[in-house]
Amino acid sequence: MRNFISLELKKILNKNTAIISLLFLTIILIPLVQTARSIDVLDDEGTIHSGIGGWDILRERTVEGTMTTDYLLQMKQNYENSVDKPYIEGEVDTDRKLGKKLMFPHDMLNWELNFPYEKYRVLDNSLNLTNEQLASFYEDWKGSFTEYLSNEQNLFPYTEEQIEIISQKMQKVSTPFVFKYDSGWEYLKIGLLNTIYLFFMFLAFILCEGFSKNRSKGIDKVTLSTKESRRKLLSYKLGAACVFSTIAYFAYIAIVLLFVAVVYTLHGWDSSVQIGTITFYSMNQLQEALLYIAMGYYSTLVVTHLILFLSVIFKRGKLVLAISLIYFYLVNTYQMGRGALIEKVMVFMPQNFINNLIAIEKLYFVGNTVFPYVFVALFLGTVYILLSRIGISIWMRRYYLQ
Amino acid sequence: MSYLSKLNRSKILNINVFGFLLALFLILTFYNLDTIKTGYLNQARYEVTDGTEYRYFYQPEVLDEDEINKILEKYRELSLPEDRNTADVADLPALDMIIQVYGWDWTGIRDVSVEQFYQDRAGIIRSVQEEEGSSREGNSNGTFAAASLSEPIRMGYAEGWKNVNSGMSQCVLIVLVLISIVLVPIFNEDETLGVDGLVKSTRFGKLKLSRIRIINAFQLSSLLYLAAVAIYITPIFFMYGLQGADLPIQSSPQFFLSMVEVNYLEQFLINLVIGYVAISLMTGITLLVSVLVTQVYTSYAVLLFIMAVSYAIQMTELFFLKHYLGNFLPVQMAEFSSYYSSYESYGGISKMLTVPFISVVVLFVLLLILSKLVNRRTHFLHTGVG
Repeated sequence: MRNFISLELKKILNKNTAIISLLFLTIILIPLVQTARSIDVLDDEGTIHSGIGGWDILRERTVEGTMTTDYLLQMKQNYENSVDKPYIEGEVDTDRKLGKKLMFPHDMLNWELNFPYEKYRVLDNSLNLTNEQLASFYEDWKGSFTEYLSNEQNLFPYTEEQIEIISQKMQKVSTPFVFKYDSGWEYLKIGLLNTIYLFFMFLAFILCEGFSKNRSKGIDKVTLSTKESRRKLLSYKLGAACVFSTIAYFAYIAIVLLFVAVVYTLHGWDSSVQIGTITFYSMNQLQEALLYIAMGYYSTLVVTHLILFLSVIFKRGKLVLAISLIYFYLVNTYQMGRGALIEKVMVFMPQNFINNLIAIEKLYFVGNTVFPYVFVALFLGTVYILLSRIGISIWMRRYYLQ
Repeated sequence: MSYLSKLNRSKILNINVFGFLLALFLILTFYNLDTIKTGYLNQARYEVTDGTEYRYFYQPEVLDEDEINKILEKYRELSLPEDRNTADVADLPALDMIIQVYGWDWTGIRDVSVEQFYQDRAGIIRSVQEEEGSSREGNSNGTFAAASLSEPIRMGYAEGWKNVNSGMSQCVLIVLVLISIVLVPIFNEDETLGVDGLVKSTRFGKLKLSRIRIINAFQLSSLLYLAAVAIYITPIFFMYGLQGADLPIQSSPQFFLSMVEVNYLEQFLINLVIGYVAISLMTGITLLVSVLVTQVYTSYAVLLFIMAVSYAIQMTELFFLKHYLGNFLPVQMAEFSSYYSSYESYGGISKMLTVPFISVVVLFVLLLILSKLVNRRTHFLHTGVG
């Protein structure tokens, strides 16, 4: 049995696959490099630096710690004396080129601290809170979600009971938070979201011939007339494709991680996930990253099945490739789009299974039970895999070459 | 020979696919016209719905002393840029031009003479040129032609030409993508039949057939390009008219500071030629990829890679890379407005002459390599297993 899978795998792994992998490796690096180099920071003396080196400066300037009241008061004092303050509060004009914006080491922390006191949730990275506000930060933070969720412009608005349920869950978040430089982990998520469509395009290139009329990778007369052809062949082919995409996915993740480690470093893995994401799960960045990587793998499996399903329906590799490329490209283009239809449709896209997995803006209710998007994604993915497996076996039964 | 050519041509792009492509162009045309119309609508002027109204607003006139001073006096109290939209529609082009010369605030500027105005404009052009030159290692020098800068600019209605010339880039880009898709299988189309080896061993198989394939590829890309221009571009003329062909491109605020002395018709013809060079270069590159890489999917991946890399070069800030490589890539060559608005030059000769000329040379070198490679390629297709 297993020998057949390895034979099918052999068909996939050849010189051309190696060439295509190398080409896509470069293509995937392009958006990563672009994101990484578009940064401007201030150093301790107040001079502006641009480019990849900025992340080092940002990391060195971050004052890390557990966010107790003492720490927060200390941070307030630091802010008063910092070189960042005049830039943040607009006293000094930066005169930077359009499209660039200065980043400061404590942006995330200050946004988080301002959250309970900020009307309309304008992202504010200054730190001008009173000592009393800082002392009662956690109470205010936990109490602010009823108001936040009622004002949120959400396309799936929550009812009042639901908001109450969420607020109660937020009360149980374990405090104090840990604040550290964690750009590596933030940009791991962003990098995955920005490049996974390219990885899926790569899979489409390799797997589009899976069940097509073709004597090399696909199916020809001889394969169709053997004993094990129809029913079992498909499981071998599916197995081989899944093995291939597993290897490819972990190679892809390794590359993204390597890039992140070199540019941003993997520093700050144990800082709290609540800084940056609003969620009621008490996690650290490493756990969240593992969740995203796992979901990326799951959506890879889903996409593998969908490509093979298309391949068995159309039987023409080029058509499958064209459809998949256009599809992945379009979904990526409209991923960030705001609009009733787009946001509703995006929930169902496998590419979106690594987006906003646990945030409280994207919760789903069955009765009074709360499900974050990650569960919806898991459920949808399972449905897709099952449906395409059934579909493939039905179409395979009546597969004719002429 | 002609029979073989005809047969091969229909094999690469049969009439149904060609018809489908033309239909696709037609759909894109309607979409494009709609975009142009929405663009006018988004100017938020109640007098203007789709831009054709400008026929009645723009009168043929010259940007001379009277006109300049009239605008200066009329809008002196206007607080720019917020209130730009309250100016009269007919005055907008002249207003935009004066803004480009004197900035948002011209309270102190009164009774400007023609010479003064055009000298100020020349000063701005010179300073931009010098700025580019100093930041780019002195690469733009000696392109300054002082004579053309003092002549008052004639203005008037030319929306048809403006829209055509800005739509050309898009048109060429679409054709570039289509060509690379259609022409990739040209040297490995027999994969499913598996008779490539057989064909090669016939009398005309190798030399003649491959020569015909190359010729056919260029025929098809020319045909596709002309069809695209005809379908995609000419409807704009039906809507916005042919008026204003003899106006200088400087009469459009977009090219007001341009150093290239052409009128709209000439600009269109130049774009047409440069577009054709870009298309031919892409055809050459695609053929080369098709010959070098035997498998179709790998060829597509290589082309995608080339597109991605040219995109990356376009985005980079390294002037060296952009100047000596990026400008010669087909995708970048189709950015027509850059030929008129940038002051980039290669050793004193403007970009508009250098880039197409060098591309043609590169294309001939490509063809030379191609003919050598095609004749040498004797190995048969080994697709897939092992």
